[in-house]
Amino acid sequence: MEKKTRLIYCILTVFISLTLVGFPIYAQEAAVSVNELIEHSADYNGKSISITGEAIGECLERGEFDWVNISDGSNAIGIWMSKKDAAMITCYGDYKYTGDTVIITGTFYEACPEHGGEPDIHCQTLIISKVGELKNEKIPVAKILLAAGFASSALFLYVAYRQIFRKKA
Amino acid sequence: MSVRSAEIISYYAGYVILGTSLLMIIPVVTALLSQEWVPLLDFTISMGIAASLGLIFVLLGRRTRGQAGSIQWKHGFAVAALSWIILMFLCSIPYMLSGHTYSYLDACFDVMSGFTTTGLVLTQDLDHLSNALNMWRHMLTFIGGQGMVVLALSFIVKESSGGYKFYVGEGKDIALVPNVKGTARIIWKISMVYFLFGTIVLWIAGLFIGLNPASALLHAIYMFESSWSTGGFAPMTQNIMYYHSFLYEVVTMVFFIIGSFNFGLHYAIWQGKRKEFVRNIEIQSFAITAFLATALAIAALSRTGLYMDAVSMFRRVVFNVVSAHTTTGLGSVYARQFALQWGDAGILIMVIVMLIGGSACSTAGGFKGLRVGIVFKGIISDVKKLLSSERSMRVYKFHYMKDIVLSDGLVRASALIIICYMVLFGIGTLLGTFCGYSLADSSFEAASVTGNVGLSIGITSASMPAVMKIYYILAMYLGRLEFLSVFALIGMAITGVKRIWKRKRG
Amino acid sequence: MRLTKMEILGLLTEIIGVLAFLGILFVVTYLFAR
Repeated sequence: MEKKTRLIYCILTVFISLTLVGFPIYAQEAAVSVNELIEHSADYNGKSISITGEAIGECLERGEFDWVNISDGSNAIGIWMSKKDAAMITCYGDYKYTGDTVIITGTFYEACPEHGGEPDIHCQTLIISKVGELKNEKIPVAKILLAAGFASSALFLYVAYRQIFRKKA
Repeated sequence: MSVRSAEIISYYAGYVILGTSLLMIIPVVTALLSQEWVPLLDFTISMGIAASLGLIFVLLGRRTRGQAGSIQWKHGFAVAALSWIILMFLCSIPYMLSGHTYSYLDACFDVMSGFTTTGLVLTQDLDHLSNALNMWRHMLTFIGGQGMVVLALSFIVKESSGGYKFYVGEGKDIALVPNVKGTARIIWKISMVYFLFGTIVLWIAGLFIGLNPASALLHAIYMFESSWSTGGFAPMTQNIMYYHSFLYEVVTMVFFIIGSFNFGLHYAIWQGKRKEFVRNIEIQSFAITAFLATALAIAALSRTGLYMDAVSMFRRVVFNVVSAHTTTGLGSVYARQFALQWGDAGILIMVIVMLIGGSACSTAGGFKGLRVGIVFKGIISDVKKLLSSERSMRVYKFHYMKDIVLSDGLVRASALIIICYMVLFGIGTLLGTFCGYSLADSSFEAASVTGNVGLSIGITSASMPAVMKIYYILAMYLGRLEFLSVFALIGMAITGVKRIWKRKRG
Repeated sequence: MRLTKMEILGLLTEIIGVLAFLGILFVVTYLFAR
């Protein structure tokens, strides 16, 4: 083969490889918010969409598939995903923890017939974009002082109460 | 208001406040067990403030001790109305300290929503709330449903001779046994038995649907309290949708329907009078209206084509209609779905059932089935009187625990309270439209507030105009206490101000 | 506080009664949801 042709084939191969690698990342639809899905549920119904949010609460295991609830700040919605996908999530959000931030691509149903008419998303791909962590619970000194102060006032008043009512009896 | 009256009110209101403040020990223990240190401090602070204030009030009214005979009806009403307002300010302190509410007004809104077992929420980020605060929120509906005055009467107040007057002030008038303390204790017994039973059932259901044992127990406690009290709060943003479970929905439905029944009915059935379940006018009224509303709602929603099978229709439509009718407010669809998918017919059906509400002397809100039944029978008997010969004197009766004569006075009293509710609803709707919301949305939200329901069509949010938040707080409060107590309190306050004014001039 | 047999029966009556009511509503739903 001529040198020029080989070069062209080389570049083409590299280009195709890059596209194939880059495709999953670029093929994601722009992430939509949960409230947006609810607001225009008829438009998004049955379509493949992408949402980004925090995994909250806990994973509700239902056999081969699980429910994971995702909150994106606007609202929260249930994601129906395979056990394998759910296993990727290690941290769920609550008072103490910020849960894993996940990017879900899947089909949105405004009234899923499989799940009793509930608005939900059936997950196709799951990516953990940020692992969750333990929140730093700082204890304000002011609160410690206030707690001590008001507890004392209540005790003092109770003592006064006992004194005054003992006199009356 | 004479000095004596002020002291009487202060004395008893003080006990009600003290009693409720002591209940804060429960979230304190929850925080300890969950190792939530900041909430532990928050509740200690709140408890300290509330207990202190309660004691101060009792001490200010100390001359009242041993003078139970001087309690009059107006005092009973005023104590109920006043304690609820003061407790609203005190019980919102933990919310403020948690940082989950944007303002003190929002915190007060949530507390009043809890006390009145409404269920509308302005607290932000429920999914990251501490166990202690979630425990407190749900407790508020349980306490408010039973009645803080009832609570104080059963356990704290020593004298019980004036008790009945306080009891009625809080919206209950059924005397289960001749003495009020006994009646209050029975109400608590029934609730605690159901609490134990219901929590266990929900715990098992929770484990079944995939919750871990600890959260299954907490959620069971929260959801039972919310259902039994017909409150409608839930520990997560998605309300009952978080669980994705038909089982959980049915179980909560059973408890919120039972919770919407009159305590007198529970008592009668528990005493063996099981026939009462079908003979009672309120049960009949509820069964008929719930049935009709469900059928109509299903017909209306069928046209949207959203729910093609019976299970979906039951879970998304029947659940919400019954939730609305019992004034619970647990929602199996997102708020905006009511606005976007239910259509005007669907919304109107919901407005009507929310206003009719549940049973009298229960945790439910609205006109109450009893009044609707009485007024309806009143109309029928009037028509019959018109048609029958003038010489016959028929006495019309209805069955409510026992056979009662359908007197004109009774019909009039029922009709007047219904009118008060309608006015409250009307003003709420008008206010909503004035603030720019649509008529359908405004009427839905106003009905939810007036009937202490808690379902939202999307209006209730932190960005709602402050005037609407304030109006909703007042409406929830008036609706729950059924007007009279609040009117009595206002009346006494005006009389008091007039006297002080006259004294200054003279 | 003791729970008598009659009270337990009462509790069960209410629960069964409400379940029956829900059952009827479900049948109505089934018939109407066409």
